Amino acid sequence: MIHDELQQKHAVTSQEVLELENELSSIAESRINAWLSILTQALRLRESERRSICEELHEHIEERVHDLLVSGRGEADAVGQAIAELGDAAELAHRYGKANQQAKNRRITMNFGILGIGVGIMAVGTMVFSPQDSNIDTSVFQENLAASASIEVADNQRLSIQEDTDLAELLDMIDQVTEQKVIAHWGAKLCLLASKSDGLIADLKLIEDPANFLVHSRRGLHEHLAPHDPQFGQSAAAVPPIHG
Amino acid sequence: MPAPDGRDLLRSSSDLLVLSVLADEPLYGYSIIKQVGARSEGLMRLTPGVLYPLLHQLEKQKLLTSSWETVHDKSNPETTKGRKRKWYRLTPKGKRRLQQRAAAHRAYQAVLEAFLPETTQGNEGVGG
Repeated sequence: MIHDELQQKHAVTSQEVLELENELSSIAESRINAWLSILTQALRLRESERRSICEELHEHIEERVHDLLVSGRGEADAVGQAIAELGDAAELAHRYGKANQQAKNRRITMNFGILGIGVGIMAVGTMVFSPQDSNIDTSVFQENLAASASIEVADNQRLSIQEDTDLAELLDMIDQVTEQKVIAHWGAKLCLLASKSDGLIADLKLIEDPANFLVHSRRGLHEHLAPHDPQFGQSAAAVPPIHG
Repeated sequence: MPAPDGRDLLRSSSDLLVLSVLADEPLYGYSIIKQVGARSEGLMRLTPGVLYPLLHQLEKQKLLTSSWETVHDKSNPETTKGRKRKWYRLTPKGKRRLQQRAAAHRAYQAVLEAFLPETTQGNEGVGG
């Protein structure tokens, strides 16, 4: 298209037009590379990840430019738009960093939850239940964690969890339910209660419903000996959701 | 707290959109954008600045897995050096997450429904 227009308007030779087109392509490629270079420098990730991201985005730009050229845009214009759609390179690098951190936080939260439950199991066996409670089989914690369960996301709203859902996935799932207190039931007696604050799971509680239950939070593991705690001590189904 | 506008809603549900389109077939970044646009009849436009960091996050969470394909420039087939295209597909964990997100979304929608005014005929109640 550029070729035809230039030839008609300025009566230049095909060779000259070809040279001009090559020059424009070279400028466009430099522009893409400059943008990718800024992104690479701003990405706070491993070298292999930085390389992978750059290759993926380079391919995206090429595809987008191709589509814009097909729709009749000039090359410089198309490259400009493709880059503009991706936005500021430093800002995009920041988003990648944030996404990476969120994935990491989730893993930490999962590990934290699993550790908490592990410690909880030990604590249940050693310190929480008084002699009169000793008829409770603490191994049920371990057995039931791998069993099917359900999650309550609001009054009368339950999500079923498949049998092979592990605790890490459950915590993943809880993390998706914003601003809600979530209760997962394993069997008749035991359930796990988690609530969110600022996008992270703030508290993870193992409840031996309805009497004694353990509370595990960032502040550490401690006994919760309030069987009729107005917020948590009632039956699991009666726990109110957190409001915004 | 300000009311969420369309952009906020899209951002908060962008992972659901991505998991949904990948449930049908493996896709690469640019094709995900096109699929979301096509399936929403142009009403939703996932921007690359939102999509690519999200893909990075979902892959890190092992909800997606990826593989590379070398593609050659159609307009310049003589070029020996090809570009690398990253394809994504859902993992079994990603499929379960999609089911869970869909169920949570429906539950939320059902609760929200109770607060919405009934639909009115014509322009009644719209004002002006």
